[in-house]
Amino acid sequence: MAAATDDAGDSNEMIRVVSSDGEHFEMPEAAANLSLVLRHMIEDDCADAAGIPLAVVAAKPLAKIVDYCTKHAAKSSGLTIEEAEELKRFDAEFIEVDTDMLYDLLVAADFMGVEGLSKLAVQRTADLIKGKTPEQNRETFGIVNDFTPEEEEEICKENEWAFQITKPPSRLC
Amino acid sequence: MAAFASALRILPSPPAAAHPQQRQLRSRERRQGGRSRRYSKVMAYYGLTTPPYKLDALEPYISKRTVELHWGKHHQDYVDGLNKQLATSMFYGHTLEELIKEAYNNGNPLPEYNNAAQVWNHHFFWESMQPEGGGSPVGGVLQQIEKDFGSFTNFREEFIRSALSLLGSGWVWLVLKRKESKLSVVHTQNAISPLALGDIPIINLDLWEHAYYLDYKILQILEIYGPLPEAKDGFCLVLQAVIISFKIFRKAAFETYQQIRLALYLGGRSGAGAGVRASINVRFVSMDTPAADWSDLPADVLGLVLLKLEFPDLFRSAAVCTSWRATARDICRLGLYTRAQTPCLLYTTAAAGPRAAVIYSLADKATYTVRLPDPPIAERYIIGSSHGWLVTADDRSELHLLNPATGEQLALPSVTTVEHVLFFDGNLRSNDEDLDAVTHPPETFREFFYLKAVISGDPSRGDYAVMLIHHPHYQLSFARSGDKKWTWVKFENNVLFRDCIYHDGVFYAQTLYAAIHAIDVSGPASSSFTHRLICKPCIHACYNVYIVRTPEGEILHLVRLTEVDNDREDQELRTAYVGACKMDLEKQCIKEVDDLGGNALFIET
Repeated sequence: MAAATDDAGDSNEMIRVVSSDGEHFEMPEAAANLSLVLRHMIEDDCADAAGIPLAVVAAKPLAKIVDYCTKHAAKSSGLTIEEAEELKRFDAEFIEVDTDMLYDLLVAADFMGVEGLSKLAVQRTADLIKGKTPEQNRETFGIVNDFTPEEEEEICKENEWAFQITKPPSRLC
Repeated sequence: MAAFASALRILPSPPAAAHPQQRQLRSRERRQGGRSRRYSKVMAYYGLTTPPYKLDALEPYISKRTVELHWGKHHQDYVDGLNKQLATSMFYGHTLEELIKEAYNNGNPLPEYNNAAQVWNHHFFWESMQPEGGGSPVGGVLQQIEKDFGSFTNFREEFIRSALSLLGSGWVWLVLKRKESKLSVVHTQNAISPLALGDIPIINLDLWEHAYYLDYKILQILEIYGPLPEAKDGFCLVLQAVIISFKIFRKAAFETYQQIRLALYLGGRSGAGAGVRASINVRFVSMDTPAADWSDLPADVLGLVLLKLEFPDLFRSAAVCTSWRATARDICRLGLYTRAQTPCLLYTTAAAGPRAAVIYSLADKATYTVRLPDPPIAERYIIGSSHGWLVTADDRSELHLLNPATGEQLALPSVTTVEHVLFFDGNLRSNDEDLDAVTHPPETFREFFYLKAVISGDPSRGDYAVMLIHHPHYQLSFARSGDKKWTWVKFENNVLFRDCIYHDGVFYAQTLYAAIHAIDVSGPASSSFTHRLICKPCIHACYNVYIVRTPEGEILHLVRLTEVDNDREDQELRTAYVGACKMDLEKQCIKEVDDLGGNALFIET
């Protein structure tokens, strides 16, 4: 059903996916299997030459996700220490993206059920939030403060202490 | 199909771009290769949405003729009826979801309700099916079905039962119950929609007779299934309808569950329609919006991010915007926030004053000054800490549970209710039959009396128990939430306790002779407990015994033996030996270990 290449055996068939904006992508079946949604579609024989439509994933993040899955599928089992290190470096570089792309990856990885990527994007987002005041976080993520004055007051009362971050001089023994 | 193209009236809605029905329609047109749209210039109405497949695509289960009639006539009639009402209605301009919720009017439906709900219910019904659908769903929803119903088969049976128990016309639904955070099968009479009741529909099944009567006749069913109990027309139609529905339920309809599962856990802030809007938008909304809106990040995904944060970051995230605030509060309220915290140092300073504590966060490498409720924290003794809470003894020797991060405080039963304590002449006296009783004024009694306190769980999450190790004679007493007094854990012969830990429903208390007792205080009667000996006494009295939990969740039992250091003039004690054993909780025994599995352990000397 899914054979996009003529000589492909069962294990290395190419799977086609179509982004919400109509772009086609191809990846090995092992890569597609990293996505829960794609895996189930393939199991149910929904993967045909026309490609699996992903109605909520645009081409830009989908290209990244295909990259991620292809890389990780190629090195899935029996990793040497060097290969594991290399994959770690790949992940670290992979997730160095602007907040718009990070947002798309977060949502798309969750939707497609790509667990590793989902964790990576979630951790990256948490790292961006860490140690910042609410105002700094609004700046980082381009969020508008939409609290009413009453809410602001309530927020100030509870956990007020957390907004006063005092960094002691670094004088470790 | 051509006949129905003219039936598809798209009817304008103000403001057009923001109207979900219009959005749906437009993407559908794109999918179907475009279709000329006829707008009236000013007025705006709801349009009839087309099923996302050809009208004969559900055959042999539902015939083209049935769909033509059901969709082209019945569904269309509801749309027309609604539009007619809207011409003079206060609901003009509402989204369909808003209209349904408001017109439901808490169970006293307004005239617009029936048509509006039926338009939506039918739209959702068409969406709930697909050609070559059916079979078991996939992914998150299957896991949730297995969790909430036991298995997919159970769910199917419950769905059938629910359908059969519906009297008259109506709908059967698989919904996410917002409050209970679980999937449930419900049926509704006539036009009632779970939307109006605050639930989030996943799939539905039309049990109005008009959905099937062309295709399924009683005789035909008897032929296929043989005589059925209570073989009445309605019964068989319903049974047949449910059986066929499981052959054509739309798999993707189940998939949208993935998107809304935490919207449910975390929902509530955007009203009952939020999940449904999400489920519809997942299928139709265009993703080519230029810039990401982080305040609009789906609550389930934002929840995953916030669960990764240490508590100061979580508190600050709750002050970014309303949607972040709602999610941060919900993950706490629902007990989802159980992240292990990097240890913090808590201390008081003269500069901060007696009523404030300073928290140094190792993770943030920053300090925070927290104002805490009375009695002044600087004047209390801290005799235990678990689950982010402290157990403190104030200058009357009374105990409190205190959460330094949130300022929550709970008073524990009075020290005078401990079996061994007498209160007279303004003094506290520890009562001891064998030895001399010790009498102290309340402000110094705590120095002598308390050894350690252990809490079973986060007190803000409900029931808890506190186990106290105290003098005289290293005794144990406990109090559960709501108790008015402490209960003594009494043994026939004198057992002396040195350390204690709570793990998996049981307190493990360690004696001076390195025996371990498992003590369960969760029985129904207050002040009762059960007891079991895990490990017999194995050494002579040793004050340096410890029981700790490793990050991997194993319980270690440690003994440190000391000897006099003859090399030093002051003949100070030095550590001669540290032995570690691992507790095997299944076999309820201990086993010696040689290493700590890569962990570091700090013990007092």
